[in-house]
Amino acid sequence: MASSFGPVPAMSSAFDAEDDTFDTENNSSSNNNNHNNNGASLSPSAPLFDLSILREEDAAAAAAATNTTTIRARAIARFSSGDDSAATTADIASSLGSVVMGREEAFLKSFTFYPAITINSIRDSDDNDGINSDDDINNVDSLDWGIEFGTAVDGRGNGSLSSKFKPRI
Amino acid sequence: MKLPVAYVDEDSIFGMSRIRPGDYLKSINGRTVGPSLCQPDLALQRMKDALRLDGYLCVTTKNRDEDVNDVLVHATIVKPSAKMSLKDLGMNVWIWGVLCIKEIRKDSIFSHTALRERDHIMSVNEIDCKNVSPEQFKNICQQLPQEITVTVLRRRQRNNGNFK
Repeated sequence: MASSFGPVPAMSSAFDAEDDTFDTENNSSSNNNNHNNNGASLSPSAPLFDLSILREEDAAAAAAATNTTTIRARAIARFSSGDDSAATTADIASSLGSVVMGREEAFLKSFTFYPAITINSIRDSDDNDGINSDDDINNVDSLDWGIEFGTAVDGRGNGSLSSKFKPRI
Repeated sequence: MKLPVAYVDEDSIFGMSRIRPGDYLKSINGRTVGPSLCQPDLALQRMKDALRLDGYLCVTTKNRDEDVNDVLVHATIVKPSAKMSLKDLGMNVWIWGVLCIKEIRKDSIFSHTALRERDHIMSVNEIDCKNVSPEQFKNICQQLPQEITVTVLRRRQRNNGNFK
């Protein structure tokens, strides 16, 4: 079974791109970046991810051994197999979401996580402003994400001067 | 060979996703999880590398392989900034019979999700979008401070712009 990655101080600083400091040994991570995620943060002790993945046969064995299959999983199984006698409408609705209503047959899910937006390139860069390519973006002022150059301050605590940059997303 | 998710810590960032035990890993940052990655440690290492090298992590899962007519797509993103609007995130929506995705801008955050243009939007963060206008949808996404889960219905048969 795979291991989990360690806890992080905050969501936006979940991963330090410079020193690659996921620590799977003692559930701690170091991070010196000064991100500002505008209130979007997780618990200080929250792990970045804890998504254990098993081989299919191992998962089946584990489920059989522990009998920890969730209500949701049971509802899916019953619904998919056509045997919904034991899964009430409420079970399915609460498990799959109210939008399902027994019509959909398959799920596709994606989860996209950006720890921070970094600077892709700088236009008319002031060499003395402390803002460089690959800096994380901290405070943003009138930024048109991904299309036009915007204005930001350095996310690494190198002062409050601004520079034009294009974000990398 | 498939790699099923065995456990999701609700306190981790994956706790904000719709990924649940039993889902099968489909892709990591757009790269299909094939036989060469069907080892739990390799897959998690790929996630770590993807986050480090690409600056973001996109994990896609599915629950079955059979051909079906309808697919319910749950796409969750974590806003890197609470201030970002739907436009900032790269999506535009309109009414095309029902509320649909009109455009997903290339190289935007939403382009790194399972969503596609013309998907029929069912809900956002459990908010039923049946009677939601495009402007209301934009306002909802603007107001959501952290994670946004857009649930869409994707039908296999679409002819002449119709969903049936």
